[in-house]
Amino acid sequence: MRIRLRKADAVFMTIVYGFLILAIFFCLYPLVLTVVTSFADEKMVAQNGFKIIPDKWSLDTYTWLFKNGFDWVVTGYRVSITQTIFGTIGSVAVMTMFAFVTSVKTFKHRHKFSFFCYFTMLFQAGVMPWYLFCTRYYGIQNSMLGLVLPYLVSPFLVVLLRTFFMEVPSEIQEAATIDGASPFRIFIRIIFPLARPGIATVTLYAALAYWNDMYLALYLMTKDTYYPLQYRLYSILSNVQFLASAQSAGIGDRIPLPSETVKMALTCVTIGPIIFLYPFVQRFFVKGIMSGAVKG
Amino acid sequence: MAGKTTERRLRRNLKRDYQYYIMALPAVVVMMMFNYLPMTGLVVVFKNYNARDGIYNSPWVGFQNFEFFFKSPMSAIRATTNTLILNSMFIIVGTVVAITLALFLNEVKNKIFKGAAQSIVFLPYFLSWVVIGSILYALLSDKGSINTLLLSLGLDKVKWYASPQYWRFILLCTNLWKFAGYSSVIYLAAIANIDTTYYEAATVDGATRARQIFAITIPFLKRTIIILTLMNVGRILYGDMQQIMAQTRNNPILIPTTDIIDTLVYRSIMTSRDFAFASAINLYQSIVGLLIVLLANFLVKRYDEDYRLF
Repeated sequence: MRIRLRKADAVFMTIVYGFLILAIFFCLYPLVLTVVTSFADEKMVAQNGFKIIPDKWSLDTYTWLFKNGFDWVVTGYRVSITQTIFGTIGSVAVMTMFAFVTSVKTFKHRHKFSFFCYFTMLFQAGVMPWYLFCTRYYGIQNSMLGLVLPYLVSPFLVVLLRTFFMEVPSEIQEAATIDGASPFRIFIRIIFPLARPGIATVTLYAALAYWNDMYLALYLMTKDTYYPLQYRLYSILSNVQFLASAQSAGIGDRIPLPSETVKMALTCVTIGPIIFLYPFVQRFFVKGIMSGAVKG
Repeated sequence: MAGKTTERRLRRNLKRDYQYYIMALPAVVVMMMFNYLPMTGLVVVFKNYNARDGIYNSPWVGFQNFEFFFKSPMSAIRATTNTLILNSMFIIVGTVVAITLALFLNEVKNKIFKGAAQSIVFLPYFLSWVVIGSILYALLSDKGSINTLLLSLGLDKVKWYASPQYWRFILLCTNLWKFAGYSSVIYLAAIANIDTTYYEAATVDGATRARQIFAITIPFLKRTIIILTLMNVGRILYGDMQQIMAQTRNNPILIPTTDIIDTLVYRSIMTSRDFAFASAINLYQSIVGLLIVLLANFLVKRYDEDYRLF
């Protein structure tokens, strides 16, 4: 009996490990293929295809990119970094203050403010009027504001922040109020330091959303100088705008057009920062998921 | 007299609370700009929009925009069907895979392997759709590694970017790739909350580990599964435009199976500048979307008060 049981468990564990190893393989293989191809010889790739162990290694792609696409990449980085920094700081400032207001138990109208935020999740006006307002009334197309402002408030993150703030014992806040501290002082001196891990989580979510976004660029940016990295990579993939922008940058004459390895190299350039930061930030996201939407 | 006390009380409250209003103000302004004012802009659907007059001054045309919409509804119907099919696939298969991952990860006792596996399956969540589109290109292009594999197996190459029939499956795969690890963390958190004495008792009774999963873990997860699914169903009419555009590389050949409402609206606004059509389909998406959210929320509420959205 016991032996049969152990045998059944052994079979089960084999399935478990088999499945997980397969999952790891599926997650890593495409990534490795991309990175490896960016270091492969273009001619061999064009001839024999993408290979996980290239026929011939080469740094030519990066050399080419450095010579011909340097400005193009640097501008992309500059736009993306500016967008991410200003967007993240702005949205964390705006959202923490708002979430604090909705979390204070002694503030009578907090539910009204909460609902004001919830309602944006329920009913969405959609892109068409949003687009008309952005382009016609706010005039934020082709400007840094257009890459930052629309994403400042995310209802999902506001709810998450509110959960974190509610965990701070209200007795501390009450004691501070009795001592004469103003709401703003309580927010800065008590809530902010005590909810710091939670705020860090939300900061990273916001930063990731800005860094990975191409939606705002698709709708609101028509000038090359405002294209973030993601949008640049997209235009290379869809092969439409790269020619135009490359030629306007004066590099069109020398290049044999966006070859396979260049696409992969640009992909690596785009993911670079994320892969480097991933080991350090992963746990914050796990924390966010666990305290977020659904408890067990 | 009564009026005066009310006024005094209001003033006292305002004096005490004014900082709350100031702190909430920036977020309120942003939501006004990008959520509430555009809602009023939905009136554009009853207008013949032209850039010179703007939303509010363009001439009224009544239901004319809807006539266009209903005269050529094929693209709208196709986009709706695609959105529903794709999102249903994402929800059903996505949930099954995420739960399987969580259950299996939970069985692993080797901490290093468990940690590594979890980190690796979580990683794709951090990559943008564009990057995933580019990685997909390495797999599917004419010289891509899947075609290489097919050739080495003695099969014919497939022109993936010219074969719309495969694309729902391909989009399902990339969706799983990006989100399965992320969702599995939610279920792992729920599993961690289960009292371990149940498992101890089951082991004493001689239940295999597989049996324990079906008899203990899954029944405990039922609540989480139902609530998450209903929340996803609430958004079933909204797709991720970036996913579709980056992966199909905006290829017109693939439109029949991959065009969703969001990409259709995008093309109507940015490519054909057909504001009348865009506004009609936009209003339809908003209203039906609202009804679906209300329905999903009603079901969540009936199932468990704590998780209702409002």
